[in-house]
Amino acid sequence: MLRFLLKRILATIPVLFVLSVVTFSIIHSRPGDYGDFVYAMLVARGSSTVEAQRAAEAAREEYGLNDPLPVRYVNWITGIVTRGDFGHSFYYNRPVADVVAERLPPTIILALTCHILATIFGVSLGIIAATRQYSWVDTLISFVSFIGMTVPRFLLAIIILYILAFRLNAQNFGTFFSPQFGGAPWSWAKFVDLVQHVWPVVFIATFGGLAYNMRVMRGNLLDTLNAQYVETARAKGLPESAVVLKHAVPNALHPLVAYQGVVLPYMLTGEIEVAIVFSLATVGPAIVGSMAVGDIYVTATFMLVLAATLLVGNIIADILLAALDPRVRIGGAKA
Amino acid sequence: MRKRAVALGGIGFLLGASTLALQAYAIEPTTPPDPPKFEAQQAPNFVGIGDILEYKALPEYHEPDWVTSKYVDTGALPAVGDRLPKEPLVFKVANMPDGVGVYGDTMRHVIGGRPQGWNFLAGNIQGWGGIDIGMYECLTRTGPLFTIKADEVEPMPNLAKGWEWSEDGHELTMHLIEGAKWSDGEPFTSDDVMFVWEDNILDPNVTPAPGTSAATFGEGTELEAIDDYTIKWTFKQPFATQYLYQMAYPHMCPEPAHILKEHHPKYNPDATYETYKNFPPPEYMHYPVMGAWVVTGYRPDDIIILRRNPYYWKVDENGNQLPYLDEVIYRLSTWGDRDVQAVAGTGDFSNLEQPENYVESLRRAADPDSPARLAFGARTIAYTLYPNLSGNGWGEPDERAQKVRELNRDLNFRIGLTSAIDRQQLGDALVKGPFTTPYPGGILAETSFYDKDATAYYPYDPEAAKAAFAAAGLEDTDGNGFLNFPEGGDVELTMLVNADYQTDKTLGETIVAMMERVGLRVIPNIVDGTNWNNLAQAGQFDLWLTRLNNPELGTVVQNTVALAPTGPQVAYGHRAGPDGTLDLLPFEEEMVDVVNDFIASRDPAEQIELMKKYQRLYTDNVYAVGLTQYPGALIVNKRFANIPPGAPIFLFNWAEDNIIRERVYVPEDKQRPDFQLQPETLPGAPG
Repeated sequence: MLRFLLKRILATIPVLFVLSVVTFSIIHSRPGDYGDFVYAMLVARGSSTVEAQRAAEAAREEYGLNDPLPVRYVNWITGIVTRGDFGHSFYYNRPVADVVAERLPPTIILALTCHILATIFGVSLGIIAATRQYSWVDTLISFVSFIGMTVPRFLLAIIILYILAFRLNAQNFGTFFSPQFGGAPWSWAKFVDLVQHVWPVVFIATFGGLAYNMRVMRGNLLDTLNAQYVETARAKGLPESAVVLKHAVPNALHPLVAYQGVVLPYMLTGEIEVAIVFSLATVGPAIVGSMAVGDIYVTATFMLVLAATLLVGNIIADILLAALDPRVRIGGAKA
Repeated sequence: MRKRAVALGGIGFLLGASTLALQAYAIEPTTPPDPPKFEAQQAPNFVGIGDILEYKALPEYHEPDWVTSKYVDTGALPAVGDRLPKEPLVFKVANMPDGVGVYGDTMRHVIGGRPQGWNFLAGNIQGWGGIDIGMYECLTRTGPLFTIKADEVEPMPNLAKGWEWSEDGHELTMHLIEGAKWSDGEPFTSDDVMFVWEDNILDPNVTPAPGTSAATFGEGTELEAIDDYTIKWTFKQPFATQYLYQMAYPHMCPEPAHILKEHHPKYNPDATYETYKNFPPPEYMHYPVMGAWVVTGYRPDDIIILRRNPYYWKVDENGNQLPYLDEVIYRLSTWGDRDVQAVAGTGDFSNLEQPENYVESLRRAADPDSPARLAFGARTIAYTLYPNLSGNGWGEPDERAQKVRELNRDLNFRIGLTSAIDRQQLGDALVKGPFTTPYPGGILAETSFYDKDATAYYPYDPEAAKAAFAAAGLEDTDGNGFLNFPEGGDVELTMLVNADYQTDKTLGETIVAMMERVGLRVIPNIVDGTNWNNLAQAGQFDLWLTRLNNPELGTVVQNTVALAPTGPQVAYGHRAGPDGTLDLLPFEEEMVDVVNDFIASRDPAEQIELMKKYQRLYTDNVYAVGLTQYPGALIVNKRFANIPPGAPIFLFNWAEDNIIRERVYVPEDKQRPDFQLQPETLPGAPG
């Protein structure tokens, strides 16, 4: 097991390296750079074009944007490998590592919450739907899940925002906290404030995410419920709940467990549109925002983080699968 | 014999008729229609600068009670009279829309920018949205000039309380306010101004955030300090009053030399320009400022908190030390969120400038429960289509593009372009109702230097457009509905459109359709904002659709040089070719002369006449094709008082400066003490 783990981890390093080259090049494929953002920003604020040009050139000089692409890449990579320095964010004027470290925890907590809720609800609804196949309960759940899967999340987000702001006179939405609670120590009131601000995101993510879980669970469970060993279990006289929950469900869970690994990077960026609509300072808007202004090291670093989490997630999925399925555990050796 | 007579008569009649017919389509411009009036639009009260403020000592001064009890009585601060300068700036009560204010409450802004550091002079921005306007006061002030009578417009005194020109006009002696102090109690003197000039503007290693350089104040300009409160400018050009406008935000706004000097490489050999630029970082609190509020709190991606400056050097006529508002907060969110929060009532201030949202926002504001109101100003938002007038290679045109440039340089073609546009329909495509008005081009209607009779307006007339194109030598020879070049091939123009805004895209698409009706094929090149700016700067367009935020067409006195191609890189639609020369058309050269005469003139009556001449040249010759003009609106929370009527969201400066925020207050019965985050506190020591 340990050797397996070690081999997998070592194998990720060249993959990460290749990914970094690819993403760095892709980020630069679009014309324009941070200097153009500075120019556009100043012209839009009434500066003369001459002055705006001067400020843009100064920014390019300062941040090495006039260097050729390979030089910039090599500088960035050596910084990471030798000093743990992921570059400088032009927009925030801070080390990229700080920006990432600030954005990751709330993103992960929010994403985990949404993911766990979506999984619990999705799996439960899937079990209910499968055990009552073709009843009105099954139809209703399927209908709800279809809607959740097909309605675009940003549309839901905008509709909810409109209703909150224009119809309900809501006072607590947008960003994570109200101004009074931002720096305050944790308390029940602060937690309530947080929930008031993020409930739309959690709702939309859960609603969209449960659909997939529900459909997969239902489908797989229906298959396993028709298998021979389930009939045997029933014939043995076990109560139906034990048959379903102890024998059928664990076998139906395989694809979902494999999915857990792949879902990790999606969790980090998955709610980009909703986070943008509700102005939440998470990873998704940071990636989109940095791409828009040409803050290349922030974008490249976040891409690296996503790639790393995808690889880590896959490893975790393999481990989970090994833990869940004895065939994988033992089956490495000859059957 | 009779047959010949009949024939001759017939020919004569036909000739006459066809001449008449031609004349019926002869392009005679008219004057533009008057902009429609609507209730929500307020006009400013026009006054003189002396009606707004003066500098004088008052018999007694007041401050908030909690400042006296908590700080002065405990000995932490000197008495208010000792904190103020000898002759503070006094705002007159008669000019305050709602009279003398009361202390208290907070203004809650929401911005989409982020602070990079507090050193604006060295190139770091604070996130915009009026935060740097509130922190850094400048030598002169231009924001409130929207409310000054046209013949009295000149920069308002601010930190510089007065100035006089020498006999020959080359020297300007400026008197700074005497005895004013920074927010940490240190005196403000000419040292601070000279630090800005010598160690930031003149220093080639420092680039201030707005790109200020010595040339901003004229080539070869010099500045020296005469004594602690007097400075002297020396300009190459006599009576160069245009530079007084440059001494306002954002170019000449001092920061504390007593804090910054020890971080500047000239005074500290251990410092570098990089460490200087990044000092102080956003985490540094109570950075000394001359503005009304001092930064006392900051959480990244969350909020910036500012509290009243105990040493602020402005008072009202009753002796109350300003500002009235104890606190200003800036939520760090997104620009889109700012509008939403203002409408919902969790933010206090926003600019509404996308016309697609006007109707819904007005409807919401009309609801008596709505926490915010809309205040529309003058129609200072205008869209223009700039034809690329360069024939000598700007933008490296290929064969097709070069032919198009020749067309652009033909007056008949430009007249055709402008006559093909139904401006009423354009406006309605954006928002139905009385908001938009046709804009022929040139100086904006509803501003001081606008003269309707000097403005040529080619009304919507597709037949006239077709006749004009024919006069330019274009015909549809291959019968496919689109005009052809004389040598063959369809005439195709590219139009550069900004993809970042729905308004731009709507206008672009509507124009393509209108041009198609008169047989002109226009291909929209819709690119993202950064790319759009790049291509426009590089001259790679035939037509450039843009909404310009630059002040010259609205104010005229600010950034006047941009009104015409006065330099090789100045104009938007005509810059120098690769050889560095401008191939100006005759009317462009006349425009340049008029603009230069305006800058050199000191006679307001003469300036008004010169601008009429400019408007004639611009609009008769269709220097650019104006499209539509509409007002922006301030979304302001209803509890605020002393917001001047008709304040534009941007004219000389942004609304946060125009409304004179230090005079804004909340009446006692509407105050919300729960909005203040740091009630009854003052900024501490810097660090």
